[in-house]
Amino acid sequence: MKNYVIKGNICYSKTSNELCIVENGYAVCENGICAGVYKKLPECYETFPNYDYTDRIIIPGLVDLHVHAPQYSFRGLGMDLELIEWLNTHTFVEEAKYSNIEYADRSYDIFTEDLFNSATTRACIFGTVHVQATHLLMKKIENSGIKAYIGKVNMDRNSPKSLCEKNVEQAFYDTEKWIMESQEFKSVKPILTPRFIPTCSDELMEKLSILQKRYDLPMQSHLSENLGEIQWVKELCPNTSFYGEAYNKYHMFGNECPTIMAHCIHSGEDEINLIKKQNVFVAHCPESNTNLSSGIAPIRTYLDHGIKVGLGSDIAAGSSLSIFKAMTMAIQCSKLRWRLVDKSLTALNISEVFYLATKGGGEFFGKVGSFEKGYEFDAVVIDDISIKCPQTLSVRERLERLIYLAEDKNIIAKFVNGRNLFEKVK
Amino acid sequence: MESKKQLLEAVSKSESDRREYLNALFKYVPDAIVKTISCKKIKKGEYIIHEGTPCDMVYIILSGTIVGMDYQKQGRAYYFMDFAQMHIVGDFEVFGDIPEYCISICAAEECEILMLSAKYYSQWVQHDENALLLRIKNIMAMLTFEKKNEREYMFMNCKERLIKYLIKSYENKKHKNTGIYKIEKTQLELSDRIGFNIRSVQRNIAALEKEKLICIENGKITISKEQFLRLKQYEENK
Repeated sequence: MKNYVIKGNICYSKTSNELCIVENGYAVCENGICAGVYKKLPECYETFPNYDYTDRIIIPGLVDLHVHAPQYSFRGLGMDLELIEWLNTHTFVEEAKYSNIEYADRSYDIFTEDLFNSATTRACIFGTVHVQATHLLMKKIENSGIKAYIGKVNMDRNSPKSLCEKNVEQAFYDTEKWIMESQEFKSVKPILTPRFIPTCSDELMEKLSILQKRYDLPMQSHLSENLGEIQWVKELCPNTSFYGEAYNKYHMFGNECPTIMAHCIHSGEDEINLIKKQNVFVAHCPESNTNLSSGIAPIRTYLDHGIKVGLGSDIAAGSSLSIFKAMTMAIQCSKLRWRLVDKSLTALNISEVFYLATKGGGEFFGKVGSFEKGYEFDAVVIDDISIKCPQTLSVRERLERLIYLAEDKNIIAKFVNGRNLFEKVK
Repeated sequence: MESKKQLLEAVSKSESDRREYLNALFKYVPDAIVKTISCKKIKKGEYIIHEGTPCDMVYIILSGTIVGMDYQKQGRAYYFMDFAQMHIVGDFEVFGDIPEYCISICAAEECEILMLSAKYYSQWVQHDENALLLRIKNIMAMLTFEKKNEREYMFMNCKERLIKYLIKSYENKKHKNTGIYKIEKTQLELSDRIGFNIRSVQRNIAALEKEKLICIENGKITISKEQFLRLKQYEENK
């Protein structure tokens, strides 16, 4: 249906500090766009079909700004290593398997099904270097109805030979072919994905920069995740004063190239200033940062600077696709940072992490992640009746509880850009 | 209706097929439309729709059976269409943008119906793809079967039409396991119902009785279960 009304307890963010809750109110969808949230339904919408979710919790769809689809197969495994060792021991070995399209097919089916059943409605996804497997992933995500940016990974050094581009010319050709072939999709769009500076030569970055300008593409990568990695980048790029410059010198660090940088845990002042100045999005992945002992990103600093921040599951350094889990871990990590690192940076609160998981990350997709008028209508309906307690809770308390306790089984309906992806029997 | 809950409670009293259909139809019905719906009981023989009157209401049949009626030139009533699967009446004209009802419909037994204005019905289904699709499916299935039946019916002789009517009546009877079923209609009413003159009807009733396919008790036709099964076999073999 193009036009309809959803009735229930509607929760959404206007800013990181302003959480709006309309109890048993109405969110109106007109041609996939939110026409507003109302306590009393205006007369002009009274005859719209009504999805009646009275007393359920309705939130904007969650946004996963950083997830590696091929790594979903080994989620929960190999968490005892730091980044570079972890990549060499587990990640590269697994990603090499995606040259086999049958393996990719089986693996991406599992990933897509679980993403479909989660509260995530938008995602920025890393594939592998393989064009065919990445195209297959795009096809599966497109068919699921989830909106996503998906990237064929580019890498040509410091990696196993099986995962390196044959040469830069071939990488350019393959990547351009993949971009062209991606035009068949409507909900899924290509995003340039140099894995990270240590695995991408200057020549490869130059070629990707040409493609970025030719096709006006966004870009995603990793930044300042691990201290050893940062030191390595210094050695690999002696003419840069900080990690971010290694992307910026190819004009792939925000501004005309919408950019997501995952992690940004150890960014210095100059890097933070450039991130802010050029509107780079930070994908905060607290579970991953904990699992790989990378550190705790200073999200409070980023919010204070007005930097655009969203949350990422970062499968498989993160073990779960749940952005609810990313929210709780963002709070928990910020508390540890406050206690152990810097008492001047207050911990994140519920309102802030809810914003990061919805409107914060959603901004990368445009007007996404809120029920404010004019936003794309992404919604998730949650039934919390199975989470029992003896006392009566306010809607805000129920939302807070869901952030900590929600599971996929609690999600009873999901809408993306107005399209109903599923509705479980109530 | 005060609320959707009340509406669905009313629907829940319907028999299973009808209940399932109406629950699906009303799945996304807006509260504003629900509030315009009212419930009414209709006595046997009472008209729900009169041909030629303004098409301003749509009726949803919760329980009971209805019949479509037309009038022959000499003013005699002519019953037509099988309304057993007809859950909503009055909306053909809404979809066809026809200002007046094209047929008359009356209750064949006591009915419970929901009524809502044609204007609100139209506004609702325009937005509700789910309801519209369900309604189109139902209408198309009904019209397709009806046209097929009409073609077959046109070439049936009086005996065949009479047998068809008797089978249908037996099948529609409320208490299917009670054995003998009595047809309450007079011979004149039967004549109107199947579209043959009364002398033909009388002749064929006598023939069916002779073949022991029916019995006559106090001037009324009765059918036992065994006779019903033989009538079915007769129809299948023809």
